[in-house]
Amino acid sequence: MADPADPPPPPPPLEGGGESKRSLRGAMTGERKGSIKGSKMSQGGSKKSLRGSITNTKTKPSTNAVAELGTPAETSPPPEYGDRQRLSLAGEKLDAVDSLADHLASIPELVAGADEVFEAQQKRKSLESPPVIDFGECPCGPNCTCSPPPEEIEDEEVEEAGEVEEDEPPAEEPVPNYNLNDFTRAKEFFMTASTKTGISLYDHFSELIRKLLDNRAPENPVDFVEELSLNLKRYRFGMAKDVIQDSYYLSDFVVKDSTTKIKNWKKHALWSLEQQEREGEDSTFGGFPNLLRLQYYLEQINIGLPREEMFKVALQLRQISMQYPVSRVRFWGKIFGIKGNYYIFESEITEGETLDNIWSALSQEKLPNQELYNEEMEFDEEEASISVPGAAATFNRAGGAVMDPDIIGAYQQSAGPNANPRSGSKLLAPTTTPDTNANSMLNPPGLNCNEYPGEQPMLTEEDAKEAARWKEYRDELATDFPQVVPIEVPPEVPLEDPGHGVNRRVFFIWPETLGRPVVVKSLSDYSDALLLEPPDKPKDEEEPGIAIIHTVSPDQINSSRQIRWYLTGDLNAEVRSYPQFPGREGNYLRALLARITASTAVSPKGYYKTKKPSDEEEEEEEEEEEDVEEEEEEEGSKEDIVYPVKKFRPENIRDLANPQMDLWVHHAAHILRQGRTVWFNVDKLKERKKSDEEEEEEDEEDVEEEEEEQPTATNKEIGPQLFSDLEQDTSLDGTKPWSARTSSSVFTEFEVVNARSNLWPGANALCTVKGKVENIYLGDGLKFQGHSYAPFLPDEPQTEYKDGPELTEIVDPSVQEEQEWLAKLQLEEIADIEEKFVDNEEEEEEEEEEDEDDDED
Amino acid sequence: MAREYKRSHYTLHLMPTTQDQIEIVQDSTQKAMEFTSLNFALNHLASTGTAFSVEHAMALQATLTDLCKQNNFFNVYFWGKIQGTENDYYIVYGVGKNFLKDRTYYYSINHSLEWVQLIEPTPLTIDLALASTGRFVGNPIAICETEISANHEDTIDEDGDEEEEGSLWITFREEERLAATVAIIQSEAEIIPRGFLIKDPTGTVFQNKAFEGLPKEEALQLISYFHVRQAEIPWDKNIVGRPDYNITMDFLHSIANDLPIGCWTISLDNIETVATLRSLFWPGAHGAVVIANNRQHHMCGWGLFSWWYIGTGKKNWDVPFMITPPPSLAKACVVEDKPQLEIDDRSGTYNVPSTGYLIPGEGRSGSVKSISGAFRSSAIMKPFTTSEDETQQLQY
Repeated sequence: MADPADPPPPPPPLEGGGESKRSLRGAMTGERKGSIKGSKMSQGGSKKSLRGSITNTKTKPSTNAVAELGTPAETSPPPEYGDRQRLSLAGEKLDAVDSLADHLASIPELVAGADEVFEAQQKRKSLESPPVIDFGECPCGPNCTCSPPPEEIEDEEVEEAGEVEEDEPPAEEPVPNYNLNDFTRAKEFFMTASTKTGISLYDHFSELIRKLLDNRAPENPVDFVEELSLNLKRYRFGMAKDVIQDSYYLSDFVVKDSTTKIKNWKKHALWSLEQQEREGEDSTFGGFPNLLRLQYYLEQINIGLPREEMFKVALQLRQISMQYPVSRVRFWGKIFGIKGNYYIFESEITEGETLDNIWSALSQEKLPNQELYNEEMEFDEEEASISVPGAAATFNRAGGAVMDPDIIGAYQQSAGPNANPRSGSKLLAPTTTPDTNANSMLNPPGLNCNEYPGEQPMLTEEDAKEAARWKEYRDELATDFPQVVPIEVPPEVPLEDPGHGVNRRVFFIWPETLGRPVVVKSLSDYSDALLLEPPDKPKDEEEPGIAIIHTVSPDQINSSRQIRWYLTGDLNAEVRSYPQFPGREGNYLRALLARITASTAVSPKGYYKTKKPSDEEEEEEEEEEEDVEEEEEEEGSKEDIVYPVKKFRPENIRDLANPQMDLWVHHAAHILRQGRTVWFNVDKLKERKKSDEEEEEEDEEDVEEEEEEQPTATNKEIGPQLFSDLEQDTSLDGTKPWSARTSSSVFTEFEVVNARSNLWPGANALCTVKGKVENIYLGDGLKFQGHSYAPFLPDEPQTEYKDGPELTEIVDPSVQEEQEWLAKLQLEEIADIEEKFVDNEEEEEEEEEEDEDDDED
Repeated sequence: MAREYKRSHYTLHLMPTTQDQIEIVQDSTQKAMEFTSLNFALNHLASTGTAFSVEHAMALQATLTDLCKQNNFFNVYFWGKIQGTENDYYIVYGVGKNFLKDRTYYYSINHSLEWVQLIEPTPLTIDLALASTGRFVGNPIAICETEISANHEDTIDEDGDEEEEGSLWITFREEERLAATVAIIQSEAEIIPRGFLIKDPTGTVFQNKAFEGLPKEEALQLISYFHVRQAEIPWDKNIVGRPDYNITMDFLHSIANDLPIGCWTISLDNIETVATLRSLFWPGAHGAVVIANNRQHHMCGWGLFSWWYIGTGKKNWDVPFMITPPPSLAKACVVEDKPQLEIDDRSGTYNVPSTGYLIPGEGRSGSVKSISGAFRSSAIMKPFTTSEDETQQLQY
């Protein structure tokens, strides 16, 4: 055989491993020795049949087989190295090959696999059993057609052969030449590299079998051979073949995410320098809750976020409470969007602070999306008012105190960073109308937006010029076009001041962009998809900053009630809806936050009170109560500033799980149909407007105001009081608004009771036995709706013009006919017809004149 | 029409065919109860806002084992949870030889302690379930009412008091509604990644043990995910246009054909190990698949894909009005001799100057192809374009 130094002894007949090993070696070296009948090889797919083919018949004693091979049994040394040793080395793999063999019956790839196994073993034991392979000199004889195998294998084997030759020269016995060509041809066929991929069947099968042997997976490999083979090809195709194949590509989002986490963590970790510098100071403005404990409670009621995510959120929460002058920060929830999600943090303005301070704290850090606005503004500076919808109106309504970063960004860009936002309102749109009696149809859009009480139009010289110009243009229009009946636009309900009503809470919005933008491909586009360049590298932006959208107008709240829209994760995205939503996705999100908070902020009865808890004596409490009462009288008892009671304990946790939900109360103010928590009398506004127009005297105005203070009872909207039961909530489409759940059916001692909103799926409140109460929202920002939306039908078509004889189409008369007709006319009554024709024209002219007269009148 | 084929493929799903009888008997070691789907789901549920408390997870695991043993299933999978106002329905299914056909659904109303086999839906209950407006209660024998308009017209009652003539109130049990809802969700929203199921030459569909997750590039494309239902479109549509088609894997049809475009969303987690799919039509239907890593694609002991539905059991019919289709898909035509589209990279839309009207456009090629039916109209831009002069005239 190939290894003269280590010949296999005649093995016992039952030692299949050794036998096969030797026969494999026979197969391996067969090219040189020509000792194997290749034709029979191809018949036997299995190991056993291979063995059989080598030994001609399976039942023959192996000694005969060895003798028949005509090789190394005679030349080999005595059998010191028994087959058992080899068996122990190769046996496992050979067994696995055995199990595979059944499936591979029809194709002789086993040769390759066994070959591979044998090669591997030979390399390991090259000293003991160096292979003797000499492909360089083909022993086939003069008629040989075999070609050298691929270079790699040849090189290795030649080297090995060289070593062998040094030690022990190969046997030189004359080799029987029978059937050698068949085998070599078969092997040549296997080793033929594909012209497309450069891979030969031999390599592929070797790799496949090696993979199976290495992984020992999956179970029942025969069922998955096709899959594995395909996967192998796929990965081979995808693998990088260049020098950088060892580098591991990490996408930018992954790297960014981890750097953000590390940064935040370092900022707050005890051992970090930053934290040590701050040590000793009370760096947080207000307390912040323990989110990891919240996480534990949430798990009990079958909701929650991953723990790592919760930790990330907790870091951000701490950051907010340190950085901004806000109090009572809490994690409000998470809203899932299409491309990204939002983490929402709720807070309140600390007493004595204003929104300006928050704003300055925010803008010192970084103006969110400033770059985006810069780009936009460079593009069309003059149209700043267009790119920020409703900016002017918002400015004017809020008296310049609006802190919407959209508007500030737009304004600062156009007016310079140090400009006063209030004075900037005139940049965004003309603020004056010269003539209040002007027809409202002729007013350019956005002009009459500062007619709210308390707002004085700012008149400058430029404004006066513009006004004059505008008047000219209006007069011109009035002469040219017919008058239109003015449409009475109902006055807009003013938004509530920041710090009050729906704008009382300050929501920090932290966008989370998930991975890179998803490239969605349809079936028909798939061929394009393969040619796609690698996905666009994310712009070198900073990590998504925290955004605040401070105010929400009643208009926005009411619009958001009428539409359903999936949030995308981009605050600047367009909300394409009907009726149109006044603002962008950020405004829509802010409106949602107000609505969800108002309807789902619930707590067990008695947990919150409207007065601040204090450890002082009762007298002071009484005084406070009086103060509170006074405040309530002033503000109509609508302000939902509540404080948790210290050491709250639910009386009986089981009662809280009562499906009637009468022990849970709302602790946020109801938003009226008007879009405000405090009702605003629109009639008052109308009358004041009217009074401005009529320019009445001050005394009369005073009288009117006194009258106005009595709101008409018909219009006034009254919502449920603060701390009203959930039992009184209205149901929608026959659905119960709230459900109660308990966390455990076993451990009632540590139970957590969960109030789940059915109208806002995802809104939850929980209360533990020990009186911990939490609210959280984890959902899509969609309200439950029984009936689906149906688009509005188009208006009915107008009635068509009635066809009369004057519109009837007739054949054009020929010249001859005309002449005949004229001749006939001359003969008969010419004047009548001509008069008739002329009369028509005159009538039309008269009518036009009349119209013009009307216009002038 | 749409409803009809839903019905038909469901019946296809239920009807045993002759192929079942000649299925090869698989190795009994496949019965090893892995519940990979469940375990994997429990790991990744939380990223979608839902979780399982230890108690419920333990109960589920234990009772599923019991269920599997008693009914001699190859495997039992957690299907999802339908939230009722009083109780939640937990739903699981056992799988026999054929992953698609040999399915048996079970539900539980006591936190997965006892399982009841779900009845089979009928075409009528499927229709009724789709038309039901209220939420599930959690009581299988509760009565659901559905109003059916005789003329198949959706009339909106402004008064709300008058009873329409011809409208019909049909009642059916909630158990029937549950069965129908599960069937609809299974056919509309249940998905598998490509390669998760394979079909052998005898027609048996079973889980592919050699599935290693999807590579990132494939995981981000809808073409790599298939509906778990009998293919409705001709089978060769699935492989046309796919250069690397493989009949053993591409025997189902992909979700990329679902309309409106954008009704599925794919997102990666922050470390790009799991891609999560969401159905917008069925909020709460999620599929999560592991991103195959070329360098270490043997994550033994891990489930590589799971799907679950945790929601209210109400279909969100409003999706076409709630999304903007991705620009790479929604085709729009270019205005004649006025290439005035501005590409808005952030929102992925096209902005027509001076109107502010957003036109979804073809991103890359700029060629004028209109494929999508929803945005096919070539006249879409003309009524909305206003010239610059007019705009300025309005202002001054």
